[in-house]
Amino acid sequence: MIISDDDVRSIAALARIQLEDAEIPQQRRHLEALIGHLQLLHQVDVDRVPPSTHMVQEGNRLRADRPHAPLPIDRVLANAPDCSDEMFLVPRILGD
Amino acid sequence: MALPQTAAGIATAIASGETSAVDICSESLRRIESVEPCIGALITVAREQALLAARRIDATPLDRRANKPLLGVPIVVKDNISTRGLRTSCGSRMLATYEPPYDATVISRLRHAGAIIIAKSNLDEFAMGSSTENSAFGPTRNPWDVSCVPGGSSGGSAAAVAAREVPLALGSDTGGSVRQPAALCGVVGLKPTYGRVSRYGLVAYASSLDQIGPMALTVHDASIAFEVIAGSDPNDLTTSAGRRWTPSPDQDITGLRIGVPIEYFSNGVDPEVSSAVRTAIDTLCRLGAVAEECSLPMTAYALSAYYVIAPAEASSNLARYDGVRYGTRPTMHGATSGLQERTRAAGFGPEVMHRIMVGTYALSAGYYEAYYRRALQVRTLIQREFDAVFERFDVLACPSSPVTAFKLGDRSHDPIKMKLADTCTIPANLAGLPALSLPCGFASGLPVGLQLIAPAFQESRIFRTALAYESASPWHTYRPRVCAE
Repeated sequence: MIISDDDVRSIAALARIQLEDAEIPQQRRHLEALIGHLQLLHQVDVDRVPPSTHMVQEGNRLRADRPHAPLPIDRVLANAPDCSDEMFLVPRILGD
Repeated sequence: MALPQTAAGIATAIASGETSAVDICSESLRRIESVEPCIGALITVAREQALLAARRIDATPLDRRANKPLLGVPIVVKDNISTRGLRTSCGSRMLATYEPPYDATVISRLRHAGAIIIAKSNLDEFAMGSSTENSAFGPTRNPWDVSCVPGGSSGGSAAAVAAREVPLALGSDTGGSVRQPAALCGVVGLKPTYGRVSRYGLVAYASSLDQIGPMALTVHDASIAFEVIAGSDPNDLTTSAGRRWTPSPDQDITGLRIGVPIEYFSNGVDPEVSSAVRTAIDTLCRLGAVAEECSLPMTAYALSAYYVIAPAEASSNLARYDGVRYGTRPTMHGATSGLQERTRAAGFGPEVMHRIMVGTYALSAGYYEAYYRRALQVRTLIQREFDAVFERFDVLACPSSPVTAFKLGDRSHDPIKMKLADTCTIPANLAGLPALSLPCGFASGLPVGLQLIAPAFQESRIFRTALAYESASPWHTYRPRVCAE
């Protein structure tokens, strides 16, 4: 299974992971090794086999639609990298 | 007077007033202090909270101590299970200071049953690994041989129980992460049926495979903890609503039909492991069971299906770590873009990044049908194969791991070799079946695990078989000489 450096950059972009150029060869080798192993799946005849999209056989369950108290805002914000006035703060996304 | 060693013994002694919860808790803390420098099983020790909980128990009148099956029992919890106000790091730089604002359902249930959360245990980052070497907090070592890994990803929980730091722990099992470290550390570990135990508050890795399970020194202790944590939960609607589990001390396995799947004894299985497991099956036959070989040919494809499905789900589940609501955020130096990308590059370790990349690849346009959909179809075939074999057998018996504990660093640079450590455990996750590992001997001085697999929601069959075996074997009484003991 051949994967190019550009493939790795493209996958990293989709995964929202910043990779340095120096990291790309190792990620490429890892991907090639594992995806090469996954080719075994193509030996299996899956014609007309349904995909196992659900692990639970009991069908969908819904809980009662009752209002309840949410977590206190201060507890939720306690882990935020940055916050102010009961809001999460993020770096500005527009330039000057 | 010697303190009781098992969870059942501790709870009984504290309920009757024979022993104090503070004495038990202090003894556990002393043991932690003594062995942790060489084992490294724990990330956070909740010393003060634990002693406070113990004092509260001791202040409770004796007539109000009933119906608390884990009263005063110190428990270690894998650090990917949310504990309110107690750091839950997932072994990652990303969550190195994260303190959940709520308890996981299993934690609420443990507390209600009287258990004391004494520490959070080390794991492969976000439960991705088979050796507990991929942790931002350093590796954990195997109490039986500190030059070896304890298995993973619940290696901290397994090592803490094996080293007698606590009698009971919780792990999580996505592809074998309870059973494989239980086997490598010589303790009991159960992966319940998918849907038996709530995942609410478990930091998600692969949601269609994850289950929380107990790890203990004895089968009886594991069954008590399982009874406490199992059950329907409105906060996790994949938990089964209609299936209750009732524990039974029954150990009669007369006429029990045991299937021995030949594929679990073939490629890459250490002959000494194979021999110990076959001897254990002979013991079960002497106790009245009937064993016969069977075949599960789809086992050959389970590892490949798993390494599509689990990374695909991980790539989605771990998208939440974006540097906004919790977790590490790198300095942006005035940059206006790339918050997510920089956060994730700084916060995730190499194995987590690698699995997110594999999952992203498998779900991307052009590859979805070839990998993800096909892996789900193969999972269907694996499930059907188990259904067919369970028409002939009550339980399956096989190794929990193809090898005993391997040396630290031995497999960490070979991703495929490392993943082969899970070949015996992954199929039960893909089929959603309950499976338990219990000690069945030693190979070259290291513990070997016997794995018992049953049809969905038939944990009682597994416990009956395991109790029968344990009562006829000495292995659970062996203990490692940790460090300078």
